[in-house]
Amino acid sequence: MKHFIFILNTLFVYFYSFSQTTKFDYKISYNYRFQEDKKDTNSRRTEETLLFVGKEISYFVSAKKLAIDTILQKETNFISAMGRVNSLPKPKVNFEVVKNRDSKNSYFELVGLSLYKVSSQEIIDWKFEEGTKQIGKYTCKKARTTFAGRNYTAWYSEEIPLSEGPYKFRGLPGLILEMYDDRQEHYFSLLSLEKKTYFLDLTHKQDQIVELKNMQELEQVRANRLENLKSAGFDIKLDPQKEKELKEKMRKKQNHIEML
Amino acid sequence: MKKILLSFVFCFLATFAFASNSVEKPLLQTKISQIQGVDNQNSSLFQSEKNIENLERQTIVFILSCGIVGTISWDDTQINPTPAQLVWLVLALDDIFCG
Repeated sequence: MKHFIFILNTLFVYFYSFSQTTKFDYKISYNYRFQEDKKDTNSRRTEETLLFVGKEISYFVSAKKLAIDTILQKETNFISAMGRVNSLPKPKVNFEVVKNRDSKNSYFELVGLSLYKVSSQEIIDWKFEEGTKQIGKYTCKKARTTFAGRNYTAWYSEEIPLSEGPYKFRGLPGLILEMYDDRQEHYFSLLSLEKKTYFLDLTHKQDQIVELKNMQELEQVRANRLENLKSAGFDIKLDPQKEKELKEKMRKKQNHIEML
Repeated sequence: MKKILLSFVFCFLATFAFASNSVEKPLLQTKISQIQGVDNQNSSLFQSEKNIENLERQTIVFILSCGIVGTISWDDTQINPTPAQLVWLVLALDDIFCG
């Protein structure tokens, strides 16, 4: 009887842990180059981003952020967590996008101590244009669209029958392999594509979520991040001159994908 | 007997108060200097401990990857951030200052 209960318990734990994860069938890696300060081309940064594609949802996240999130899901002590995270490269891209098959998007961004969520439903209106381009072994076709204040060119391949792309972009008859806005301030290019099963735990995002109505509200939160921390009860002490510099730097780094 | 007991309690409290001021303060400074020493070879460093002035107040001393020293403190009877939240907060400061 004891053995039976032990086996039952083990099976329960096994299935429970799997029920917390989401299954994805593809992992697509993009190099994301972005310009933080609209006026300064020297403020261009690059980071590897990942697009996981499953039957029900797709998930877009920075590779570095995903690595840190994976560690933090298991750590319960700040010192030990910081020690492990400190040895990893720091992410510059701190947003994530979960895309449902019904064209609903959930955008997550960490600002200060809270994870903010903006839900939206976006159907991207693509215009197909003449022209082909070879990207790796794939022949790509051209399409253009306007999204959140920017005009984009996308190169997609019908040889990969996934109607997906980086960030919130999707809806073409093939995977987007390269995509950029006219000023090339946000530029995605394919690094790799893997057809393999992945299980990711996305449940941690349900912890401390603050839901916002739209990206304009998020912009307000971003602009007041230091004040929000102080009003929440945090006392951040830095050299006053440094704090002034910090505010100036924050003001400049406002060239987000979605122009508001 | 009561007087002896009261004197004993008073002595105990006085010793405790003296110890918390004279031992913990240099300890905090030592920790900061140790962190600064390590920081030259490494990237960002941190330390978390109870603040000496008020035992209810939790303080993190951080040094960002570009050498900036700061503290984040809060009353942990009022707010109780998770380790993950604090890690992301230090990383965000590092990104804004040193990125």
